Amino acid sequence: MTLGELLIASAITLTLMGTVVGMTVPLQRLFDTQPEYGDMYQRLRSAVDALTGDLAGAASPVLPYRSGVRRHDPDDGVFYRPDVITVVAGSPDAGWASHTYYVRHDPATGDGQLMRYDGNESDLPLADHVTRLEFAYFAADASLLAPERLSDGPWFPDNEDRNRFDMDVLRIRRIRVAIRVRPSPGALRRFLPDREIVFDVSPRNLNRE
Amino acid sequence: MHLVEVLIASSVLAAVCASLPAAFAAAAGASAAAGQTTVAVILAAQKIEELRAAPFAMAGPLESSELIDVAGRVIDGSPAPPVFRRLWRTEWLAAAPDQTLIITVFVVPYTVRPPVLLETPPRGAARLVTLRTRKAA
Repeated sequence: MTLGELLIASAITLTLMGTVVGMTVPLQRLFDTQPEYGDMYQRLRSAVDALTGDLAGAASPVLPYRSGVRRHDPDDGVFYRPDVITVVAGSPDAGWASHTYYVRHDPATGDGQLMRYDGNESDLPLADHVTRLEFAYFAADASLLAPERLSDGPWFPDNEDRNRFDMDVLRIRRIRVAIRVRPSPGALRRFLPDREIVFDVSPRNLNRE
Repeated sequence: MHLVEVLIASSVLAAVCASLPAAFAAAAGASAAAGQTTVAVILAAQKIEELRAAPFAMAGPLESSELIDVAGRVIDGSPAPPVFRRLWRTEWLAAAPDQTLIITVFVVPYTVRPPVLLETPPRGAARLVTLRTRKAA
C-alpha cells in the first residue's frame, strides 16, 4: 500500500467514524425518550381507567370534595374543590366503596401523584407525575353546574349533619375530567411534552331512564 | 490491504449504518402510533358511555361524526386543529329489533382521509362495539 492509498483509506475511515459518532447523540436521546414515552402513556392509561371505572359506576351523590373519616372537607366548611371528587361505586352484590380522587402535589418539585382515598384510613398513589386533575359537572340539559351552585345549599339531609351535601349535586349527570401527565424528572422533559386529555363520563346509575 | 479492499469494507459499514436510522425511526413511529391508539381508545370508550347513558330513544338508530383536538375536546367552531375524527353508528340488532342496539364507535387519526371503513381500522385507530338492551318497564 502506498502512502497515497493509506491517506485516502484513512480519510474514508475517519469520515465514516465521524458520521457514526455524530449519530450517537440523537440516537441516545431517542433511546432514552422511547421508554419514557411508553411509560407516560401507561400512567395516563391507568389513571384514566381507574377514574372511568369508578365514575361510570358511580351512584348518587357524586361529591366535588373529599369525604371520609379523615380530613373530611365539610368539617372545614369546604363543599367544592375543582380537583377533587368523591364517588360511591359498586353494586348490591359486590358491595359499595367510597373513592376520593385528588392530586398530591410536591411543592419542591412541582410534581404530583394521582391519589385515591378509600374513605377510611388509606390514601394510596395510583399514578406518578400527574400535574393536573380537574373536574366539571353537567346537568341533564348539558348545562354546566357552576361551583357556587354546588356549594351554596340547600343541604341534605339538614344543615347540621356531618355528611350533608348540596342538593344540587343530585343534578349531576355528566362529569368532565381533565388530566395531565408529564415525563419523569430530568432532561427528558425538554424533549417530551406533557400529555393532557379531557374526557367525559356519564355515570350509568345517574342516567337511568 | 489495498485501497479497493478499504473501499469495499467502508461500503459495507456505510450500508449498515445507513439502515439503522430507518429502523429507529420505524420504532419511534410504532411508539407514537401506540400512544395515539391509547388516546383513541379513551375517546371511543367515552362515546360508548355517552350513548349507553342517553335515553334509549335518543341513542339510535343513528350515524354521526365529529372532530376532536389533541386534548380530546370536541371541536365546535374553535380554531384548534383536529387530531382525531370520531364516528359512531347505532343500529338495531337483527335478532331483537326495537329492543337491542349495536353501538359501534370508531376513532381514527385525522390524517386518515375519508372514506373511513369501519371494518378495517388503520394504524393509530380504535374501534369499540357494544350492545345496549332496553330495560323492562
